[in-house]
Amino acid sequence: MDEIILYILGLLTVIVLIIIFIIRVIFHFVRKKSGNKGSDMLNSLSRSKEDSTAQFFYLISLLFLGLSLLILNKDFGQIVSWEKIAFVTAAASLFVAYRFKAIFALLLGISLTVFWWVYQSGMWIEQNVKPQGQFTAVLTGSIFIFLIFYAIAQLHNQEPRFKRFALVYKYLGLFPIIGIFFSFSTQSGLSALEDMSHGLSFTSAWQVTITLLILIIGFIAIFVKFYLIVNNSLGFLINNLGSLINQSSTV
Amino acid sequence: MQDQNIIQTIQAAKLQGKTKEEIYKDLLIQGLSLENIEENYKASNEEQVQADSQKRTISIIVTIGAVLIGAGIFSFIASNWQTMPNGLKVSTIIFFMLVAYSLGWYLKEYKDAKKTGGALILLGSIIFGAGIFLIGQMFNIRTNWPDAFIIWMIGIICLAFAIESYSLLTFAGFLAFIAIFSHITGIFENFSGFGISTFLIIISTIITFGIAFIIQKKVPEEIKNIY
Repeated sequence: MDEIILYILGLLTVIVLIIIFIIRVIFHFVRKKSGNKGSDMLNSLSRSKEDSTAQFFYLISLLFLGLSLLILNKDFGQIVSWEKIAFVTAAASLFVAYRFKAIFALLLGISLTVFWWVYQSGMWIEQNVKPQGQFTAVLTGSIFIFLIFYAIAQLHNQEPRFKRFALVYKYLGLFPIIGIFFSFSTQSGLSALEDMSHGLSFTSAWQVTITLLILIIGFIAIFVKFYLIVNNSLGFLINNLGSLINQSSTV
Repeated sequence: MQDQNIIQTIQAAKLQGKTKEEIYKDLLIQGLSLENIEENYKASNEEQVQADSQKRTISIIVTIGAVLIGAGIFSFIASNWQTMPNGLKVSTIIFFMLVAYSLGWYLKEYKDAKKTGGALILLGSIIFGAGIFLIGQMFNIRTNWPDAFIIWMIGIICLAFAIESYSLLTFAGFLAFIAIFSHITGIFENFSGFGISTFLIIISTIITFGIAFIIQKKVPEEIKNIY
């Protein structure tokens, strides 16, 4: 089990690093392409040293928070497991990201949430399904999480002021899925998938079943919300088409 | 045809924060043709790029110079370290640190040599960090070694705030990363005496969060509400 979990965690780490690199490259090109113009939103963001420094320090403070919890836990004789600390840090990161508009904190929060889910669901299956459970639920859950990220990106894209967060969600949704499919197109990926599908059904681990259900419902809810927003905008456009045509003909 | 006077006028207007449209408008009012303005505007951009690249080169050379001077001072001290009494050692460190800071500040504030001044202040910061490690070694202070990076980081943050330097804040950020990852490995390697480390790490959480909060208040209004 540990090998499979490590395999997935390693894959996710590589993907997160690639995403950070891609975001940096995008900012670099936006900056280069825009030259001295300061009107473009992403350009002015990438140019603001105050913003980038604040983002950087929010990330550092959250890493220090995680470290503080780990050390306090050690001082008090390991009263909670490290994955619970990772979960608390992820929740704090997401709170800071939305409260203080911190993009790196969002990246940390999302990555830690995915890491936590992968590790915790693996542990739930291992503890509840004996002698051996299927780990495909871990993979399914991860794919649902990434789909939710992509759906959230589309929702955020509806509002211009959420453009940066949308960018993070989009890449964290798309690239891991591409990475997972690419990995399963290789020999080692296929054998890992084969190992995961051996054993008893994961449904005995009720925590995993409930989490998967919540993820599916969450994905559908976000998708419906997105559909309603797009439909409303289309409806508005269709209803006002007549007046818009009249205006343009007058001009 | 390129005209140095027009190029200078354009550059001065850019420094005043005028947009491209405003500059074009002003020059058209002065009776220049559109073709002429375009040619000179392009030339001013090229000159700007050239000047930026020169400034960057100077900045890199000066920074490398500062780091090499620092390394030279340390190799000199290290070769005579054993024979020096403790008082002299501490005085030497403090002396070099103060000289680097004072000279850097003087050049930056009074001589308009911002790059050289900044590089000397960076040198002072490196001496400060090295001083922390050397004093720890001299007096056999028993702590976990990544704690020195945290103390170094806190010192650099104070300095960065005093002289309003974002590059020093970035340097402090990198020190923080070293401290964080060294401590994480330390947790698994069973570092001893976690009392001081715990205190320093909790303090660092508060300080870095406070820094982020204060700096965010200075973000320009037009991008303040962007997520």
